[in-house]
Amino acid sequence: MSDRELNLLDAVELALKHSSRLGISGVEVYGTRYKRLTINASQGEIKSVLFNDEKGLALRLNLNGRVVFSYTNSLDTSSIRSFIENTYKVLRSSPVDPLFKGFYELSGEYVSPPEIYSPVISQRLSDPADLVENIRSVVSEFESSNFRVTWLNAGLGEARQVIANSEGVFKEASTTFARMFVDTIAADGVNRSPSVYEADGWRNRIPDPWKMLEKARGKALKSLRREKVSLPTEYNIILTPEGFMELFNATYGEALLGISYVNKSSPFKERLGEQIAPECFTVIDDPQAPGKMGSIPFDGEGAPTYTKTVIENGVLKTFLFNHYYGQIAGFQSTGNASRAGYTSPPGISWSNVHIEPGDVRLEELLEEGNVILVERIQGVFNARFQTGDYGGAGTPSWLYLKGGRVKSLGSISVSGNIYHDIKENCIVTRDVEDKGSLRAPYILIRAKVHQI
Amino acid sequence: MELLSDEFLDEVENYTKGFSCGDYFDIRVVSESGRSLRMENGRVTTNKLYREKGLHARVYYNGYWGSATSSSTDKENVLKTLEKACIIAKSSSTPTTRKRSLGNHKIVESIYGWPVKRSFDDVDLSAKISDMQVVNGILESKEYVRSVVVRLNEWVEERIIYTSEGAKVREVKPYIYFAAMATGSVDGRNVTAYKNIGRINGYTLFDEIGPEEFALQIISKLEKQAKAKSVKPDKYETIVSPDLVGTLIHEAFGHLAEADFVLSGSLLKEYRGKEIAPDFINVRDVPEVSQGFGNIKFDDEGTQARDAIIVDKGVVKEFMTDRERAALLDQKPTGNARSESYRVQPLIRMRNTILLPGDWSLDELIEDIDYGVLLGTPLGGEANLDGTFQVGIQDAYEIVKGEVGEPIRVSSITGNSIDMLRHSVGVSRNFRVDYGFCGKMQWVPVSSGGPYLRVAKEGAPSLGAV
Repeated sequence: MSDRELNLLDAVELALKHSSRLGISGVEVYGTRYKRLTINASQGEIKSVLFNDEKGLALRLNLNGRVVFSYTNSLDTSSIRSFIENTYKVLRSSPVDPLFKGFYELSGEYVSPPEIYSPVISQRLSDPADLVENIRSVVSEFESSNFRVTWLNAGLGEARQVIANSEGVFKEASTTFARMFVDTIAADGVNRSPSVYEADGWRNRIPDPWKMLEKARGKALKSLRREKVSLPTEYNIILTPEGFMELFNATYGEALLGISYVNKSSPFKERLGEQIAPECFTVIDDPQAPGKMGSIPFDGEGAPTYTKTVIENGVLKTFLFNHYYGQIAGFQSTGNASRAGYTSPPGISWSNVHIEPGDVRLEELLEEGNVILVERIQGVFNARFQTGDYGGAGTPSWLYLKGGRVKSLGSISVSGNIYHDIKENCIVTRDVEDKGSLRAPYILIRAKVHQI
Repeated sequence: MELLSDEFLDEVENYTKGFSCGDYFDIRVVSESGRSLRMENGRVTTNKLYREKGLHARVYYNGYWGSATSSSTDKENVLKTLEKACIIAKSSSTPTTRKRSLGNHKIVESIYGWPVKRSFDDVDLSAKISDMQVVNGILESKEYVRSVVVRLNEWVEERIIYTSEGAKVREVKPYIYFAAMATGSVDGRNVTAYKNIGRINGYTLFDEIGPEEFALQIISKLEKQAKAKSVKPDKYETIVSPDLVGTLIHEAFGHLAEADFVLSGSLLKEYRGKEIAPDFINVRDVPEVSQGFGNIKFDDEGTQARDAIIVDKGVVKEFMTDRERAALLDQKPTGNARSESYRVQPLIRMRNTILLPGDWSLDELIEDIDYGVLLGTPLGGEANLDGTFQVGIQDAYEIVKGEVGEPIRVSSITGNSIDMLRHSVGVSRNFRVDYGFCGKMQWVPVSSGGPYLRVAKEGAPSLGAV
């Protein structure tokens, strides 16, 4: 190292000033420093603990439509200067993007969502012994001859982010997060249940591994003994909130991003203000929800975030845009520019997805019978948002018969076209799951099924 | 584009002299420099250039791993990061010693650079963009195509691994990856198709087929999808194409044979040493294969990589391992510990996972099928420890009276990998590998491949029809 590392704010300021000194008029600097602790456990014991201490600067330069993105993780003065000079050299030979019109200009009001920073999580990060011990005792308690924790992954983190550009934006925020993921199976000789997952995450509290494993164990044991059943080609299925969110993200979620609008790959491009889903369906993007994983005061380009209804009673109200795709499409940024850290240029993503609940209770739907409850559709990421076609293994799945009898189906093949199927038959429950970046009900749709 | 000096391995050894904590430690330094280009409907929307390096220190203390990372690789930080890893390992351990072994290990000292056929620096940016434009132009020339995205990623990755046992390894790989996706609408039916290519020898993307042929293969898939007819979601006598065999062998079977999953309850554990398939079924995960995108000489623990003989003549032989799990399973390490970057710990990951070819021709495999399906190119997939799998499908065809017939609409297939292999009828002599990335918590380049495989209806995957 040739000289001392700068703190994040100084590094961002230096990058802005040095770019301007070189005569570059369009500059955007994104800096982040994060500390993260990752605990992995399986087979009833802690396997590894990892501590990351990372910082880096991402830079976008614009010279008359020639745009280049670059990043560095060396934050001393001379490294930052030479990084900018090298990026500038590349900029001059970069291709022109005729649709690039500059970086986000300061406007709008910034509101910080409540509870996005937790001193408790920050403290646990510097002294994780109690958390490690808690996870150790929980996984050890749950490991048994017929139930296994294949993988428990817990992550705690604290991040500081700064975004600044030549159009006057200079914003900073500190956030924390704590997330947990468990992957479990029930086993009996060569009999295996399908894998049962539970995931949770918050900015203001640490998920409880005991509750998550208890829930997973109940489902895994319930799906251990599968029964062969003759099913008709089409059947009513109820997707859990997590299961439906995976399907939603891979279909509607992608189709309603500004990039799909601009690239003409969204089937809803010409349908703003029209009915694209049944009336039971209202979807909100809410980056201001207290303590949720996707809550943040500004987006990856420095635009303020705000709550917006994307689909209201089935009617398409807006697409989600960052500044770049918004200006190409003739819309304002909706504050949905996203970054996967300092190593990637801004894309577009949902923040927290909230699907409004309905009136019917899950219990009532199950009691009525002739319905399959599907935990999640494995492989649903292969769904085609352009068409709505999807298919995968509904796993685990249970058949609810009239009179309350339940049969474990293990995994079933589930497929269809969500844009079509949801219109044909859509019921959403009053019961909701609120965790991670989702708040959603159970949803009943018609699908093609086949037992594997 | 290499970022670390030849002397750096010796420097790391000197930095850590005198450091002691637990039973073992290792240092992994990864440097990477590269460029990513993204073209959307003919416009270059991303021109990304980067260089980074960082280090990952691991300490093994009483059978527990503690790790820490840093983006600075000077002497002060190497030691600071090791000390942090030591503190974490100690705080993860329990007062009761859990004695685990990393096993007896061959200490390797080696430096290897994968041969570069054509350096990235020898090809102008304009020539790279021109290749992308050729693909884009051919796809956009079809009036039914609405959207085209073309991506080109090239990067040189250098890894050095130094272990407290004395292993010193350095490996340099010049990766390139190219992919294109087109979406359109034919007679009101939406269609979308994708193709990719990956290499580890510099800018050699179009040595076998030119960008024109690359684009035409995507168009062929789009047009087949447009004509495809519906089929009942069911099981059929099935021929699986080499590309799909590779994906199935990776997703549906390979993950079950990764030692971390084996020890956590994978169904395959129960079948070690037992016959699960006919004797023409041979499954390997190999560190080197012609055109393999998952080729490695050493893994991220400094282990010399070797073939993992997963299934030999239908019998489950061994699993893919890192050092700790090889010792637990009483196996020799296979060199499957891989990581995405210096920021994360190595996990057991596949390299090039293949089903070995047999001696049938494709015609012989098909000729007595009265009605069945030929499953073509895959999208991604996912597997479950009970053997259940799901793979997305781009193109599929019916087989009628021994002949490949019309395209059919299949969104995905679901099945059970053990059932599928058990009911295999034969494998062809044609053999092909494909390229991609595996996303088990982290992304690493891999290849997979095989011959055509015939599966009896009983064990065939169910078609997810739309």
